Amino acid sequence: MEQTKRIDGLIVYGVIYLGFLYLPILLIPLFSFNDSIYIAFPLKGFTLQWYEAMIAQDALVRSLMNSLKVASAVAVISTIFGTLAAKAVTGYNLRGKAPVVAFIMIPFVIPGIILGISLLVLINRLGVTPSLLTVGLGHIMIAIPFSMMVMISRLEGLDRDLEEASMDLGEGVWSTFWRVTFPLALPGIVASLLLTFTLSFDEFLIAFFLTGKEATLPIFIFSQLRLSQKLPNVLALGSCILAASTVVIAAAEYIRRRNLRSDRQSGLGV
Amino acid sequence: MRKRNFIEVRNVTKRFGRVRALHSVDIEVNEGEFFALLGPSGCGKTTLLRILAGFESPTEGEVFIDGQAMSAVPANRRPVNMVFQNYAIFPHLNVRQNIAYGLRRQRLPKAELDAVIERALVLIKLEGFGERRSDQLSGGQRQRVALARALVKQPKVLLLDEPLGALDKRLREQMQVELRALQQEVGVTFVFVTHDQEEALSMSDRIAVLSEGEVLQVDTPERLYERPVSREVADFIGTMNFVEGEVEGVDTDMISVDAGPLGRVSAASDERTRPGRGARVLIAIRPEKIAVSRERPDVPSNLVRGQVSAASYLGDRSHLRVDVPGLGAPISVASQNILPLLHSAHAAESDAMWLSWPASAVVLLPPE
Ligand SMILES: Nc1ncnc2c1ncn2[C@@H]1O[C@H](COP(=O)(O)OP(=O)(O)OP(=O)(O)O)[C@@H](O)[C@H]1O
Ligand SMILES: [Mg+2]
Repeated sequence: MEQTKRIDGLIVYGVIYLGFLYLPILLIPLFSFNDSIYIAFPLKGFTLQWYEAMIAQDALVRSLMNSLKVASAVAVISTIFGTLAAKAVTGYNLRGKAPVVAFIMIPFVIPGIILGISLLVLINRLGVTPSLLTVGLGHIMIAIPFSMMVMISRLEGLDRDLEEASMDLGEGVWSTFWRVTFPLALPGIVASLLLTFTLSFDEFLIAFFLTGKEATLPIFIFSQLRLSQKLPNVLALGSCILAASTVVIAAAEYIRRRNLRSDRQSGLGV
Repeated sequence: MRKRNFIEVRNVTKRFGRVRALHSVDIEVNEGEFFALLGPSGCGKTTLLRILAGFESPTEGEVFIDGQAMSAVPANRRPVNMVFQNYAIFPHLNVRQNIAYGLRRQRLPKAELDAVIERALVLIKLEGFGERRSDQLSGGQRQRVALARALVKQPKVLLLDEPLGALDKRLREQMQVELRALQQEVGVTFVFVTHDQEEALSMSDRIAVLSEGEVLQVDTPERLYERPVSREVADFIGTMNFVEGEVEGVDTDMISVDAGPLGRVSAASDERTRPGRGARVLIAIRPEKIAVSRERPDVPSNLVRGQVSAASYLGDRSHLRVDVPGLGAPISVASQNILPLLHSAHAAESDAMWLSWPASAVVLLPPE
């Protein structure tokens, strides 16, 4: 009897927790179809006008494109650096490995606002004008540690014998990387790309300091919040992003599970 | 003509920080030989193999393969290939791709490549398995894929690190026979690591016994078993009875030793062991060389009477432990059960029996 009571309590807790987590998010698509400029109950009626307005709003579309560009570049570049760094850390008996890793991981723990200000000071000193490029560089800086973490956990699960076997069969260091390490690290690379892309895509603080004339999406949305008649456009945009990220995450999870299965069969682990 | 000293390991020492994995190792392997490295866990077998493969470089000393110094040759340019302890089959490639992995640089035409792979699959008896992924193979099949992958490279030397260690006993015995047959078929020099002495004895042309990074003895299986050079080797390969004694007389072909409670023991002398008069020696005798009888055999020496303290029946043979008055440890005897069971000649516990052994079975070792 007591057992069931305890489980019931847990279920109630779980439901409340999930509601707390997701209800606010679900309000966004809900109000994006609401035929009213005010975000308040009761709902007025169904409309697609905010979506039309969103597409018509040039600045919004441009900032979305900016963010996609920056996030893609950040994802690719930081994943390359993160992978190479992770390879160095896991592969070789690097002397002074621990301090090197700690050093690379520092941006991980520095508050974004501090990083933003210091980068702004730095580029001013160097005489560089803030632009999407500087935003991208700032994002790469914070994205590399994330990529490195993901790649370290993937590469540590790899058997070192496999790379040695490749060398033994006549391949050099570089072709061993392409023929063995890379394909086996691919699930990690995909995960790192997704993670760093998202990181850059919704990053606000650093972008706020480093952005120039061209705004990224979070900066644009922030500027729109002051204009209440544009708010429903933002909701429509939010709903689109929500839908897109749900699809991407589902895809990533699907890939991860498929790899997990074949890894387990081949005794690879991780 | 097969070359002698095809592989030469000269005075190789390897240190990992403070750990000394190998100490002044000298080994020569002839071309086409099946050569085993035998020793307990941690004695440096894998380290020596990895030095031959080029994954580690010796702290001191040099390795020559086919007369060529190897220190400046990286692993991917050495004329050797390795079968890893866990096989290291590429999990993202199928069997065919695994076997073809090392051939890419040769840029063979497609038809020729296919023919090479097909021949390899036949050799390892895995025809029709070409499209399988490594996770769809059994342990023995993986082992054979690893073998084929190395052999298609036509190495001068194949290095195998406990290739049968992960297999169960039955498969292991089958693979021992197959591997040996394969080696004779392809004629490649095999350097084979194992810590299983029976495996080493049954498969190898010669064996190097290692202990704590040092080579104790390099010899044929027969000589290693019959004529170990030290108590350590004798202990590692099979079991032996040891009794201390003092040399009484040295003849041209016979050495007689005063062995205290064992009486006078005469040993056939060979070219290697010629201790002088009065020298302390360790007498070593294999359990199966000792004959047991109720009646006193009609021999002048190499004879002692004792009481059976334990007898265990193992079907084809029986193991006895015989207490000899004045001797610290009981003598182990393994006797073949040639006569039918329960025959009165068989020894049982607390029977008093005569033990005797031929002079040729006595090995004289340096004292401890
Ligand atoms: N990379 C390394 N760093 C430090 N010590 C090492 C390294 N590789 C081997 N050793 C040490 O060298 C010694 C010999 O190791 P090795 O792996 O050669 O033993 P082995 O004979 O192959 O043992 P096993 O039968 O257990 O495989 C061991 O004491 C081991 O701890
Ligand atoms: Mg080993």
